[in-house]
Amino acid sequence: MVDPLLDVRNLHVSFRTNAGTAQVINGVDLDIDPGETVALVGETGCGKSVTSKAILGLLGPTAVIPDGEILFKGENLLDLSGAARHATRGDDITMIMQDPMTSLNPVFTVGDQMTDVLKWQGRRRLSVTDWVRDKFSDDDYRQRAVDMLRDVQISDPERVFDSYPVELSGGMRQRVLIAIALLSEPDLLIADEPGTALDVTTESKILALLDDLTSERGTSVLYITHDLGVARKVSSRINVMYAGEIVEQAPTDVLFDTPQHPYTRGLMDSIPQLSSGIGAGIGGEIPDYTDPPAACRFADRCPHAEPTCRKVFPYPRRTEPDHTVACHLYDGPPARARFDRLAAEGPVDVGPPPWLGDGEQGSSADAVGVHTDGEEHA
Amino acid sequence: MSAPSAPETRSDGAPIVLDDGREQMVRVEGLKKHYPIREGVLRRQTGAVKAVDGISFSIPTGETLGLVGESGCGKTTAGKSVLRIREPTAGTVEIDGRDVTALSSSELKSFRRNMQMVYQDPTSSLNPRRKIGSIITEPMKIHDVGDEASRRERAEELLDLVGLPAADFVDRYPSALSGGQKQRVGIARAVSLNPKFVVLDEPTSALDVSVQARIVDLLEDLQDRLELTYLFISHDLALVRNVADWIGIMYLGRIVEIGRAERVFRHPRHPYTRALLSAIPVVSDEDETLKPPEIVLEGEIPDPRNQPSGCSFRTRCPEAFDGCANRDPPLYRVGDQHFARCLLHDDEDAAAATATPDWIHE
Repeated sequence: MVDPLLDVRNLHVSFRTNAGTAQVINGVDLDIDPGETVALVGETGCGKSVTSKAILGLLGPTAVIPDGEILFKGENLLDLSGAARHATRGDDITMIMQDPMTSLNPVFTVGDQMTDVLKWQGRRRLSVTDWVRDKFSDDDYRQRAVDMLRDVQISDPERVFDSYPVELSGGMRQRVLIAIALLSEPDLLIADEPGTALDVTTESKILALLDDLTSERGTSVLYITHDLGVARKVSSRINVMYAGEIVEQAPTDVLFDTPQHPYTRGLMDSIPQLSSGIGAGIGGEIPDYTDPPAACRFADRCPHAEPTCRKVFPYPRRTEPDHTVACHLYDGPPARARFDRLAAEGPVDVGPPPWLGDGEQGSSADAVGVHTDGEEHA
Repeated sequence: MSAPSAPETRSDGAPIVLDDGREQMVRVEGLKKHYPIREGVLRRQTGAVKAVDGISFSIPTGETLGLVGESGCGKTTAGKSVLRIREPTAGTVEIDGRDVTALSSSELKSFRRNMQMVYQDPTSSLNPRRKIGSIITEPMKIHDVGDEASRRERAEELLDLVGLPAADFVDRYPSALSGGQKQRVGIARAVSLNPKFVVLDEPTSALDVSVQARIVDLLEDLQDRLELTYLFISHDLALVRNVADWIGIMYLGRIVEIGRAERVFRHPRHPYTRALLSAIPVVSDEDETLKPPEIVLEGEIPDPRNQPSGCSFRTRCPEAFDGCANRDPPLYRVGDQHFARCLLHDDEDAAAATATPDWIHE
């Protein structure tokens, strides 16, 4: 087994607000292997962008990380100095932002913004010798940037290199952003909803392009999206996030065959489908982070919640070797050693998941049968 | 699947009546909205952006027509022109038997109670400085319905109707509400005068899917209870598949395909519709089999100021042939109450195409 490229362990992030401390990220565990595309899926306000910003070290002054580790190639990024992290950003780890309209600086040409990456990559500050070297490398930088624009299938890369962002369409700008993000040959690319602002035909082209380019280069991708359909298309593993916690983690096909957490199931049921219609949605609102529920953060919206769900924390447990779920409806060994003590206090008996037959604990085949027999979409 | 009967062409502006013989709440014929381009010191008109360029449709009473297209295709302008929020350049709109385009401004004002709109962004469509109760009673005030007390009572009734407990919400400000709750307020405001026809402009695209499902449920419930007719504007085909009885696909200001929703989905007859369907991100293998294999559209939507000759989709169309540049296709009848604007349906022109794809008549 290879060591993961990125291993986020027990990450907590809080924000100081006027209303008190908002405990947004509550013990997130997330890992990405080299060359793998992992999706982080969740709805507005669930903390997926906060997680990605924590990885990049872009959280801003009101954020506190009281606990947790972010291991990148075995090194804890949270222990690095500001300058050392600065050198990582844009070099080993890069990011594509959601909105292609605002992510490029309107007063510089595309070329300026691309060659900046090459000038700054891996450097903490520019020295005089760097400056001189850059002067001699200008043509080389230009060539590399133009080649990259060609790689993202921009038909006239020389012209685009000298263009200002305002001259380009949304789809073209997103291609430029992908080019910028891949220019430094990063090991990890964080893509934060790169298709959301685009039309569906443009989005599917961008997704295919991103997939080609990253698998060619062996780049790992953390793909952040609210759209399970997109996650299904691009990723090999999915983490479902709700209210600052990862509630379910599984390989993509397993998650779609046997979704376990009531939130994941509600989310899937809400998606308009071509075959089976549109479900009932999920009632209620995301909890207030300044006063989050003590145990299960989903309990107030969960149709299967029992009184114990509001008292005992549903630590993530392994229901299959590669499937973890944070819900009392399932039994299984704790997914992380830090939950051993909680698990030793004994299982919480809230009965088996109501959508499964008696005594079944969701072996793949059984749950597939249950999921497709129409009970869900009745 | 029976083969389509002899092609019956409809030139632009000829009435497309969906479900003939039924009562039609809305009839739109040849609707155009052109924005002039003025240049030079004299501000002479040198051209026009044809945002909506001759669309025709009808909506049977109590049913929903989904108008689908990508950004910039003119679907929102179409919705606003139907309600005369934007003054149409040409064409007629008949709502509940009245020709809306012929109404004087005072007649239009009083007729507006019959036709309402729900906007895309629930945050910017509610005045942040007014309480929910006052936002909902505003249309009643404008139309001079009831007195202060009865309007307040009606506002509370409407809040309950859209699933917001009146006692909690009537005195709150929009900023204290979530996106889904704000959209419920927008819907309550739209139905406050008992309209017959409501234009829903992407009512859920700013919301999460779990909230979207609940809003869609509410809209369907209101349609049944209040006998509403909807024009549902959206970019999300899978969503429209679930809410609309009829579907119209727009590209560059025109309807390129229109028909019963399940028919258009099962038997798309325009290459653009097929490409849109193929790009839907789906979440099950079953759905994967219900859409065409992925079709990648080359290039980008042409500049609406400078549209291609002939068929406006030909520059990106995987099936384009020489004839497409010469002739602007009319809407061909491709099945029972199903029309598509593509020369592949013209026997003469299609003979010139190198190969007619299988799906065109399957």
